[in-house]
Amino acid sequence: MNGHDVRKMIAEGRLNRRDFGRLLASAGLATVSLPIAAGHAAAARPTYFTWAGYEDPDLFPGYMEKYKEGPEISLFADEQEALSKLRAGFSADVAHPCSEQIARWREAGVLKQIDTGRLSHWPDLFESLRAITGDADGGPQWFVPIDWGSASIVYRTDLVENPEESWQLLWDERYSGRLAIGEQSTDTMRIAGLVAGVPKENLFDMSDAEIAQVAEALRKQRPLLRFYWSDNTTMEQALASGEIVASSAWNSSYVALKQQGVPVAYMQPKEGILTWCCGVVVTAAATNLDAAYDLIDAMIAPDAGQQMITKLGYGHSNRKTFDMVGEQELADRGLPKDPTDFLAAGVFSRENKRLADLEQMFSEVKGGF
Amino acid sequence: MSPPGLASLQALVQRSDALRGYLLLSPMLVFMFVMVVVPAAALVVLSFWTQKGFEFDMGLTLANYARIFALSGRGIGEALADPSSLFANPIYVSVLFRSVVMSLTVTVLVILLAYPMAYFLAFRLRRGKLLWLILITVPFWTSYLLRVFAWKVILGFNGVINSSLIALGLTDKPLEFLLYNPVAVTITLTHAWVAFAVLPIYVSLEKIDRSLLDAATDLGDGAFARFMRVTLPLSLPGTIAAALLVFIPTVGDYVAPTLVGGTSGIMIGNVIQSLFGKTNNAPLGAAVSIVTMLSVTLLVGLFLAGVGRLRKRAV
Repeated sequence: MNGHDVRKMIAEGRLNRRDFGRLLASAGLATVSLPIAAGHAAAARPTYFTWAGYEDPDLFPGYMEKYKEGPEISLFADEQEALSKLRAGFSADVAHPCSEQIARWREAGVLKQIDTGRLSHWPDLFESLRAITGDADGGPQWFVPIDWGSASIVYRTDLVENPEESWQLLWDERYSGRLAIGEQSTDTMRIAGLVAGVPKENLFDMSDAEIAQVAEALRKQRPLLRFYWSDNTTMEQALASGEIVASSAWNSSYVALKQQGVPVAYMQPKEGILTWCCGVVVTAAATNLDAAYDLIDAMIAPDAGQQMITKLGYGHSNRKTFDMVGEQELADRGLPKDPTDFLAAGVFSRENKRLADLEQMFSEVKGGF
Repeated sequence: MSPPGLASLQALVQRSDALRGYLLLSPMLVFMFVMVVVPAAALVVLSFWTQKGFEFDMGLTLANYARIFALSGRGIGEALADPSSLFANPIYVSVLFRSVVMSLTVTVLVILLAYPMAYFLAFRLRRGKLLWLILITVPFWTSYLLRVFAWKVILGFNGVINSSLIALGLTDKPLEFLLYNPVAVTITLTHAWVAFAVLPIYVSLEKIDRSLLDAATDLGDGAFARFMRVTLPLSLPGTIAAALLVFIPTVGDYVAPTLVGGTSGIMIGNVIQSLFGKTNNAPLGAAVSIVTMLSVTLLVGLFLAGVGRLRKRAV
């Protein structure tokens, strides 16, 4: 009984009550079941919870090839906030925190162990990065490394003349009102710690006196700042327009500004450059494991890594990626061929034992106290 | 046909006016109970707990409130004997104070801007009132977030105002004091809430019986005296409603301060948001929220009482 038949039957008055009832019932059934079927189809897409900038499908080309349709993307600007959201029941399948967060996230019960056997590219990853388990050394794996890089000061070479290679530039009163620093505490606490003279080995487990020292440094800095940046776009635009002359930044901002032709330089602070490694985790609430593992495997593939280096300027966790990228391209981005020494030479981001107290202190400083 | 129980219920409903009224209200009452009363009660309970890592310690304690008012180590009586000491650990109380001051400024500015607009609509226009009303609501067709962001573009370093000033040769360097301070927050909030204030003021102006104005003129009042003695008092209910409509939500706003407030324009909403998110101390966040709500309620109560007394005296 197709549409044409029905119309004819109605026109000729041949549609009896039973036929009509059957028609209505099937229409009703279709209406009721359609959202269920649609919901089911939508559920087949895994949710990827990540930083802004990483939603680019070029960063997981293998996945796009297989599924045609990208994962659902949800963005966060701060890992603490991301954790709160996950704990409050937000259902993501794959999330993208950095290495120092993993133990915290695992203890908060939002992670699932990674089955590295399901990742075809796992053996090609740098050993030093695979060693970041998110657990005790040699413990089970909770983390798949993806991207790594550094954080330092990006400054305008035309507006800041021959600065000393030091984090002190972000405290320099000559540039009062034209400086910025990140709002997220992972980097800012390390920077303020280095400036306040906290010994490097104490940076991730400061004493109360050292926290007070850091607070003092941040208090001194606050009136000199134009703003605390929470997204790199705002900060990059402000640097490009000359509204600010120097800011803490990741190397991607330097690459982006350089590509726009803005005269900027990336500092090698004498107190130590910050280094980090981020990657993905599978959440405890993940329902879509097959697609989640396909997504992760696509992210650690060399073709994804090549895009990561070219577009974002960050390093990649797959050794084979570096056979696909030219020496010059790496040099332009300040990236070595192997992260092991590079990351260890800087102040590598580790789990901060006093994070809660530092966050509390930082929010008070930001409030003006 | 219906069973006897149902029939008697039907009869009861038909007989009792009150019951019928509640029945009509019931969808709203249920909604309000689930979406407002229950969460508010949960917030109150939460504010007496403490955060232990990722878990809550559910033992009831006043510690969060003590922290807000810097009571730790002192009794409440002792603290009240010297009220100024309540501001000794200033973070929460003084950010709250700053937010209230900013909101009051915004409210006054909004009323000053909205009243003439509403007056124009109610008294000067003969035709096309609907068109004007729609035009006033046009800014509301874009989201709040975008309107706030637009101010960032207008006030920015190379934004509309600075570019124009430089193009006109009035200044050679962009003005930096426009953005990222409490003034920017005040401007943004004022613009964002003006249209909300126009409507209630317009309605109460529109309702004024025109013959009263004629009578005032006949009895010798000039335009100004007529406004002060007839128009303003009669439009007060709408104006008060508008003031409350603007003041109450702006105290807790955190979007505008985040985008245009910079390092000095932080408001209590930002502090609460950070406590629930980054700082991971939901119970303290709940306590700060409750102190904020109670302060706003107290201020509104004082304001209404003051207005009530003024009106009584006027009568």
